[in-house]
Amino acid sequence: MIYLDSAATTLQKPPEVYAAVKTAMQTLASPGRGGYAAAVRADEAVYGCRVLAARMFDAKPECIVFTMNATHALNLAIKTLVHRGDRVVISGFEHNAVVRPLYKLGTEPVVAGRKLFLPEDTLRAFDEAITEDTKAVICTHVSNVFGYVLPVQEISDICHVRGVPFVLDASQSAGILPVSLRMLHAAFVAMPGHKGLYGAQGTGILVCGQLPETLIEGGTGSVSALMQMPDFLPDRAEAGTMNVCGICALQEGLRFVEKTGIEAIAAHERALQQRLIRHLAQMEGVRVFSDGHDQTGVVSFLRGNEDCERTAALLAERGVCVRAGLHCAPLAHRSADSFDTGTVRVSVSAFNTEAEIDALADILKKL
Amino acid sequence: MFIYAFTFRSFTAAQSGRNVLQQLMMEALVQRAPKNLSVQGCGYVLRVQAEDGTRAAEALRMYGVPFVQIYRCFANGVCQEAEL
Repeated sequence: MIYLDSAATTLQKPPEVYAAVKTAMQTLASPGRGGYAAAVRADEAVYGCRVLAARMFDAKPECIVFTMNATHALNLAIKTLVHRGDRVVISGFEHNAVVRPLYKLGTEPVVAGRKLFLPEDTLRAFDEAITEDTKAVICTHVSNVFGYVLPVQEISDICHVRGVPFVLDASQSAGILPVSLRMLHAAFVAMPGHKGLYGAQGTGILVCGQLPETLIEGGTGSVSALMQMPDFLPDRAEAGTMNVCGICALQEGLRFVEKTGIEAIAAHERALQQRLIRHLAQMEGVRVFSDGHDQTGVVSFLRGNEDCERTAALLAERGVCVRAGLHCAPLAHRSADSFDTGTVRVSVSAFNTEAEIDALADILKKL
Repeated sequence: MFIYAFTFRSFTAAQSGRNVLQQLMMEALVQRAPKNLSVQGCGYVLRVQAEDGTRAAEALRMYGVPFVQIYRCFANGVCQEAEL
C-alpha cells in the first residue's frame, strides 16, 4: 500500500504513538479526578502533552485545550467570537469546519482572497475586507485541497492593528510550518492531533489567546461546588472525561515532530511535492494545481476529463490511497474553479518516500 | 514542623506552578486539596517546604501562576492562612 492521504489523517505514525495508546489504556485512570497513583499518572501524562504543545505553539500550558478534533476546536473559537449577523471575514479556501458553523450561526461571511497561489492578492483582499466592525477573521494557514500557504502572519498583523480577533485554522500546518500564538496575536489557533502532529484520531487542540465560551458543560474535576463552568483555562473548555489514550498518543506524536524538526519535515514533504509535480507535468492531459512555491506537500490534479473519483478508485485498486472529490471544502474548489469537477488530491507525510512518488507516477502513466 | 500549601482552583495551574518551582530547584508536590481548603470544591494544593515558602510565593507571582491562598499546614492536619 502507498498511503498518500495524510491531509486527511497520517496513517503511518512513529511506533511510540501506538505503544502510548496501549500503555495509557492499561495504566491510566481519569486525570483530575483522584489522588491515587493511576489518576496521578494520568494527570502527569495530560500535563506533559500540554507542555509539549505549548512549547511548539508558543503558548502557556494552560492555554492548550484538548478537543475531539480541529472541527471541535474551530466550533469553540467561532461560537465564542461570532453571533448572528456579525461581520466575519474568511479566506476563499476555508473548510466546511469553518463555513458550516458560521452559517449555523446565521452569519454569511465575507470571503476575501479567492485567487490560488497569489499571496499578495490574498493579503490585499483581506486588507480591504477587514473593517473596524469586523467581529472575527478566520483563515486557514494551508488549503487542505491545494496546499496553498496563505500569508497568515500578515493577515493577523492587520487584525492586530485594527483590533479584530484572529482565528487560525492550522489543520494543515501544525507540525509542518511554524505556528506561534504569540506571534500571530491570535484569539485562537485550532488544529487536529491526527494529521501533521501524528497523534490518534479523536484528538485536537485549541490554543487559546482568550477565554472561550463553552460548547458543552459538565464535570471538570475543579471548583465542583459551582453550578457554572470554571472561568479559567483549560478547564472551561474541557468538560467530561478526557481522551487520555488519544492525548498520550498525541504526546508521542508531538515528541516525534519536535525531535525530527518542523523544518526538516517541511523540506522532506516539499521535496516529494516537487517530485510529484515534475512527474505530473510530463503526463499529457493532466491538469496540476500548483505553483511550486507557496505550497506544502498537498497536490491536486485532474486527468483530462476523467472523473476524479474514477481516478482515485483506479489508484485504490492498485494499492494507492488518495482522496478525490470536494474534500469538505467546496469554497476552495469554487475559488479555484474546480467545483464542478473536484480534484484528485495527493498529500504526503514524513513517512513517504521518493520511491512511493515514483511508483504513483508509474501507475498513473499506465492507467 | 510545617509545610506551605499554595491552593489552586486549576489543576493545570498547580502543575505549572510545580514546574516553575522545580526549575528553581525547590521541591514541590501537587495534591488534591483537603476539603476545608477548597471552598468551591475539588481544589488542588502545591506543597513546598517551610524554608522555601517565601521564595516559592515570589516565584509563582513573578511567573504569573494564579494561586488562590497560602496555608501553613502542620503534621496534625491543621492548616492556617499565611501571608508571604
